[in-house]
Amino acid sequence: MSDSNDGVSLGQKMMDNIFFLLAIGIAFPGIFYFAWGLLEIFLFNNKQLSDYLIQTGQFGGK
Amino acid sequence: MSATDFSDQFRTCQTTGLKVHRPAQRLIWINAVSAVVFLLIGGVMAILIALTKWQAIHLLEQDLFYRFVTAHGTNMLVFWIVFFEMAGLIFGSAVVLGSRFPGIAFGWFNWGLMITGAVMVNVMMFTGKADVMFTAYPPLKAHPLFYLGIILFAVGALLYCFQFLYALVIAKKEGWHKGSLPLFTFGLLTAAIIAIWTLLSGAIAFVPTFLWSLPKTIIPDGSFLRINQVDPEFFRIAFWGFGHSAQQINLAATVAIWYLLAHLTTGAKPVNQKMCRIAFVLYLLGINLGSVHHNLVDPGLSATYRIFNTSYLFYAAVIGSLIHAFSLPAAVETAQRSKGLTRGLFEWLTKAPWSHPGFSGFALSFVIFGFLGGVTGVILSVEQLNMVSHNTLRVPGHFHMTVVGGTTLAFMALTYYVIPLVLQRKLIGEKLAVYQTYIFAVGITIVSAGMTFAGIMGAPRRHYDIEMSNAVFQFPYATAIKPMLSLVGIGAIIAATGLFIFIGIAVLSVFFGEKIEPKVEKHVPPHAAGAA
Amino acid sequence: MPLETPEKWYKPFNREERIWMAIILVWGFIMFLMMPLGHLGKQNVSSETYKTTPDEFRKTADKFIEKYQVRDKDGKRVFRKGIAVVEAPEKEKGDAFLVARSWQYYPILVLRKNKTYRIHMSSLDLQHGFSLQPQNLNFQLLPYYDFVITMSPTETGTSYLICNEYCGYVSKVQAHDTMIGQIIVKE
Repeated sequence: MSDSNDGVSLGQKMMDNIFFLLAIGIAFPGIFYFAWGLLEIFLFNNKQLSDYLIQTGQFGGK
Repeated sequence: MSATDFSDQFRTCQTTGLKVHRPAQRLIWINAVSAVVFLLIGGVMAILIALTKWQAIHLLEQDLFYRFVTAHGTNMLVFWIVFFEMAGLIFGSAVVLGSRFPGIAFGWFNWGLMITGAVMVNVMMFTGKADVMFTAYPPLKAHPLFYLGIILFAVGALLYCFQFLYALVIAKKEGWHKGSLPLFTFGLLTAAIIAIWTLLSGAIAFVPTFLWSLPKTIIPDGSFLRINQVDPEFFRIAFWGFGHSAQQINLAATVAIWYLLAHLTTGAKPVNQKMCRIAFVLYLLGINLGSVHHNLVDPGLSATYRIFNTSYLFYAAVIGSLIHAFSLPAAVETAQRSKGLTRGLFEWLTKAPWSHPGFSGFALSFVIFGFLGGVTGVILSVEQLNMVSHNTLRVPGHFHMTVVGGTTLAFMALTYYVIPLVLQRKLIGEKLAVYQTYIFAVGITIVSAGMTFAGIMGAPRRHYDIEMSNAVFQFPYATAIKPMLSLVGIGAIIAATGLFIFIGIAVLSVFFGEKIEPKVEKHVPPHAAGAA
Repeated sequence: MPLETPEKWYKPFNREERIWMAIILVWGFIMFLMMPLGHLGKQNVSSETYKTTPDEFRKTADKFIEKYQVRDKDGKRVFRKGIAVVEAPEKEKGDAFLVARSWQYYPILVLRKNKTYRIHMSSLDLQHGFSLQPQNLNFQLLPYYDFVITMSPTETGTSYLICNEYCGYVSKVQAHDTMIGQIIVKE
């Protein structure tokens, strides 16, 4: 019995591949929303208030 | 084990010709019935809290108000919708493909996890041990069993999603189905993939929070499981990766159901399969990024991160929705015109089967979700506009259009088909079903309008008393705010009427409707290697 | 049919489909461009954030109140409904602090019209929803996060701070729905 996928374009093959779809469906939000978000709060925006107060000479120290 | 062992387990649907795997049908039954049970609980909560927001009535006391808002949100957003979606996944894989559903015992186990979790969460909420809202933001802390219940429910649903993927693999491998998935199943596949992302994100949010909620008598200091603090912004990011993405599951499932209902009621066929499928794939790429709109006015995030993600990946996902906005009416119009309804520009629409609950439910849901709900959602997702809407009543105004007027109404319309075609019972009260969709749609639109305008005037959400009669100061809101809040109450009475009519029809039909005799026929995989 | 298996469906779009795709792609692009362009305007969400602890923030706010609290003609500190009234320094002279806690905002800040202020905001306990009315400006306040909002009032009057993030309750008078504060703007 011949493979019904003969002559089917690459685009159709990609969109028929449920594991490819699963991979992009997890990777895109995983990277752009989740990983980037955690980097934002734990790495990029991690300055301490105590440092800021000392730096600007306000209510400095503990 | 050869696939022919299952050949005795099928019946042939007399209306559609689909081959229905009967053990799968029983799984669909239990998940659909469970869904309606939680819809009922959520619905009772809805009318009680709406009559409290209506300041003139102010029905509930403070503690019950907050408790029932939590119970309403959790039962509706999580349990009603997800149980129904699990039934949908089983239907979209096994029944649509004419395949066996692999792992029936596993399917019952997953349902068991879900029902255990749902009951646990409800017991915790109603005994006052989880007055934390559906969002449960730390440092607000609920009883550990609340979190554990959510985790159990989520694990059961996640396993169902993997089982759905496995069913698609088996259908192909064993030769039950050949070639591309039908569009309806493809839409559900998108929903299932979004669901897997949703539930993984939820696990990352809730597992540490569950451990944090456990007392030191169970997890002492020094243990590696001892979590003394859950970073509040970490939770918000992880939670909304679960909470909003769950709504995107609903969107993909609702769109798939629209295609199905449009077909069942008017014979509509998708005009261009590639276009519709690309639209679903755009959802996969971009839609879950949009969860950041919950964090638009949070500390600790850069503008680039916010803008990139709330744009849904350069509006890719919005373009997906706009494709469906074209494709569905195009399909209906083409089908209607081919029946000879070609007079003037709109005869195809005016002569559409509006008195058929499947069509009216689809059409109303399409307008309310697509134009009202989707548009207000994209508006609220813009940084500057979010500053004037975050946590106001405008936000529930938006999501009652999408989740209730959109998804729930579409699910209700589908149920009128599921009951006779899948659960094999004749409908009791079928004539009322026609009116039910309209009553529900009108009611929920009024509720949403009231909430939206009250929110624009600054009314906070999840707030017992905007008149702040017990506070040291009172803010004088615009006078028009009280009529807007009374619209919430009035609309809720109308919507609840529609809701209880639906539940009445559904419950009576499923348990007392005239049984439709199944046509049991052997069914072997038509495309198995070596088949005739 | 959405329930049928299509054969080779990856075909080119026809004319109406091309037109629609062109319209929505252009529209999507325009909508996307509006977002960074909008950000070039003057009313945006702040990203300035410092990590802190509730204890550190409370102590810092107390020092701020100590320094800037309004005094009456006898030199006594002014309170309104038990909340300290504080004249905030303009941004060139220093920063202001606003505390959210269950179930109160303190201090009551007094600002001057058309001057700019840097206000540090945080919570001492749960998440709270800073909701300035009648301007309807809303921000999320979290413990451990000090959110610095730079703002300039353009009108005089009394504004109120409502809380719009559910933060629990213990009684009719100590609850999310009794949590309120004030910001006063003078000439």
